[in-house]
Amino acid sequence: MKIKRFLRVTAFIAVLAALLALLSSVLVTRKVMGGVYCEPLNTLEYIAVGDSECLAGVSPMELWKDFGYTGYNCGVPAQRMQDAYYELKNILRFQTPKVVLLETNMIFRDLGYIHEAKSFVRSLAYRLFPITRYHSLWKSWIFPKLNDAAEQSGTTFKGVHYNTQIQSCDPSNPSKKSEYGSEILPQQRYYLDRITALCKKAGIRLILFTVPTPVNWSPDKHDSIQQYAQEKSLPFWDLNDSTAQAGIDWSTDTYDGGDHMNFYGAKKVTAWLGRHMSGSCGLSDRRGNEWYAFWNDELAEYLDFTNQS
Amino acid sequence: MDKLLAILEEIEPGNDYASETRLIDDGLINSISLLTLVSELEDAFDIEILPADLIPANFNSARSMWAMIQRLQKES
Amino acid sequence: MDYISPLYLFVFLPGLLLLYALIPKKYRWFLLLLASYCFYFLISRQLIVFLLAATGAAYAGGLLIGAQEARSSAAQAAQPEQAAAIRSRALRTKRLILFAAIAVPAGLLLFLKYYNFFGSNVNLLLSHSPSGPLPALRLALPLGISFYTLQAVSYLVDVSQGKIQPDRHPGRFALYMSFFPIIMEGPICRYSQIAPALYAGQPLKGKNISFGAQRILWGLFKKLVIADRLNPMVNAIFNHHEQYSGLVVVLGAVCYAFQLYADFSGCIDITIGAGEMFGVSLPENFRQPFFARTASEFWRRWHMTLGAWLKDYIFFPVSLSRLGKKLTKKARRTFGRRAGQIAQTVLPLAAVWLCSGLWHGAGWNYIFYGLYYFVLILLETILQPLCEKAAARLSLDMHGPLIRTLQTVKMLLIIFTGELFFRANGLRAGFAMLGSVFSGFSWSVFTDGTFLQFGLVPGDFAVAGAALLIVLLVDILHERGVHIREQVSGWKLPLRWCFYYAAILAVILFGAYGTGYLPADMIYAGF
Repeated sequence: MKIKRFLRVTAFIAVLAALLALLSSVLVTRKVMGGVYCEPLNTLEYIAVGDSECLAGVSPMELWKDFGYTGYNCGVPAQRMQDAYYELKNILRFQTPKVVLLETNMIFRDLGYIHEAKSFVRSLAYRLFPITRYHSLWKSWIFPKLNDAAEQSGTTFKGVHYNTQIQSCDPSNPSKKSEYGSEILPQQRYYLDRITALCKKAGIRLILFTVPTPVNWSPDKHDSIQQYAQEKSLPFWDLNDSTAQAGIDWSTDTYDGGDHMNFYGAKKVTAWLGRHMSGSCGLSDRRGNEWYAFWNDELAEYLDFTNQS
Repeated sequence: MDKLLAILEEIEPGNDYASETRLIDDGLINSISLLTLVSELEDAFDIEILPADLIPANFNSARSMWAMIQRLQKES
Repeated sequence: MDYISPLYLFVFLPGLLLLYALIPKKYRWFLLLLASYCFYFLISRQLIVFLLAATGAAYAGGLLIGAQEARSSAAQAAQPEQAAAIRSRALRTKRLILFAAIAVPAGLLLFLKYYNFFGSNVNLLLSHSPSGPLPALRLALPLGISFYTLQAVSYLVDVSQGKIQPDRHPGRFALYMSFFPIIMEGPICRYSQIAPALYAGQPLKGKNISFGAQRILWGLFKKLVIADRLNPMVNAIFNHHEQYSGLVVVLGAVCYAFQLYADFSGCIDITIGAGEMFGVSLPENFRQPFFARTASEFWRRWHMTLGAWLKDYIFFPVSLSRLGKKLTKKARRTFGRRAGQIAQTVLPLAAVWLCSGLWHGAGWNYIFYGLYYFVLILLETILQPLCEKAAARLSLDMHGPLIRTLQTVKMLLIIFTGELFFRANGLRAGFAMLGSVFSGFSWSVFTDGTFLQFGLVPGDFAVAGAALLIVLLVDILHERGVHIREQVSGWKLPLRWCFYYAAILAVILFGAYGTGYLPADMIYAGF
């Protein structure tokens, strides 16, 4: 009797899992996943990952315009290390980049164990059954025309968060300061190690970098990352150390008092990254390559959108 | 007992007080009527009903009310 | 970690069930207590001291009251005159202990929840007083304090009235005060309802777990598919009410009433389902409230445990207090019997609805919300006989479809208006919103795309509407006394499983959670 019941419960769960797996594989297409997943397969040479610092600070269209590099900004606001790891792993199913740029601010994001446990369970469900993550896909099926009217207009160009507002900041005394500590905590280190290993295995050059931000950055954080980079022999490009070199002007280049880069800051950061990648990373200039002509179409749109044309 | 039934019929007409046993549980007497009932009973039988006596078990049927009245009469 | 987080549903609860099944029966209460305190600590950290203080005070108070009770019954053996003296002394001491013991949890609640509200109003009144204003304090409200305080009070009063024996077992009592499924949003339980079952450590049963899981799923459906999906629109309308008027405000109020129902009753379903899994039957908190015919019936169907608590621990004690009885006698002499009946309920009713309003929060809109129902219920009591007479003269059936429809329309208007004030950001905003319904009325909002500004797309409206219809259907079935889970369990296995899968998928696909949704708090956990 007990065995029978046990079998029945197991069967129930198994069928449910199969059902969810089936829905996931049928419904969750690359189009549904959106963003970087919509890029043609194996066309990106670099991927930038990180939190909102990364999202606001790197503009791939600029790198295309000036250097001809193809890549995508995969920053996510308030990103956590574990999500960044699994996201990167997932992206590598579709893309074969030569470089991964990892913005280091998310390494210090510490929300406590309960939060980490919560997001672990959530991200486990997302990975096992992607349908749970993209469960709102039916929204575009109901009255699609009205839907478009309701969607907020906002075009993203290869991921970057575009913002032209200006709220200046005094870099020596910013109006707020990040409350996170400067130590790399075990959990974050664990996923950083996994990202390092993942890149190593795939032959990808992993570069740690920081987007300039007096609000979040501190010399202690620099030391923590520097030490980690040395341990793993990774390059560490700290733009906070080289803001002058990058030409950041704190009276015009941030939209929220030194927390995030605005469009003008992002252009400078991106140019700096481009200069440094051009020597060492073996990325190719694809501007003349007709396979990549669609990048030029998007560039025209981008220049128009950002009033640069 | 007849006096009790008459009071009940006057306060909340329409219930079969002689046989109903879930007057409170089924909401046949609401709290405002119950309050009126308490003061009527106190006057009619010269007893004092305390908050502690206001439990459904004491008011669910005419019989249980009668039992309570008799107990309270003995106590006072 | 709240009741709808995956961590709670897929790790905490199953893990706890597993541990519970594995350990011997006599230690199970301890596991539940440990789990409850862990749950509380993980959410509220050091604020757990307030829970511990209330628990300790009520536990000790119960024992001391019990000791007086024992003294007074031991006096039976003594001489009659002596016995009476001992009894009356014991009675007086008992009352003193009762008030002292209630003062601890109630005082904490009053101070933490209402100090700033009363402080600011006192300051307003005495703005020129020489002693200077009362300082505003940054007080954090401990989770569930509004719920466990009422449980402590009901326990103490019940003990002092001899309805229950004081609990000698500190663990069992602590569990009654802190049981994790009820700590955030109730239902407000009575000691005798749940303490024995909590302590018993009943073995887990397949049927309980299955039914509990189904109840939890139903709660998730209401919370995630309806409440959280409507949340952005309700927030947009109420937080920026000055931008809206007419039908938009009406829709906002209606959606809020449904959101609140789905949110609160959904979370209660999750709570009751969790209790059911452990073999603890928790009291119901809702009984199809939108089918009420009168305002007082509404409160016997909506947040029932609060209504019952107010009835037993405010309404009756106030009306049967010495002052209450004196007023009753006077009222009956002055106004005659019929009017006296009504007059005697004024004081206790006012007390009940003032408490009810204040319980929900320290704000004038909550007080207004309480008094709103006070006036309505009083009016109902006065007008009911007149209505019946009028109906009889027109030879209308009071239970016929016409009257029933009118009653429902009346109640829906009452409920939606009440919830508008309840949700409004302050009393002034509430009146402004109500006024704007009439001043800015226009049908064009349906066609000019106004409803697409709230962050909801047409699909959201379609899903929320369909889910509300399902809730309506289920409420109708419940009203007719159908036990849905029992019915379904009688179906053939393939059909039954399909039903369960459809329900699970509905929550997963149509729930408003994850990417693209701001997490919405459980509404009543904030009270």
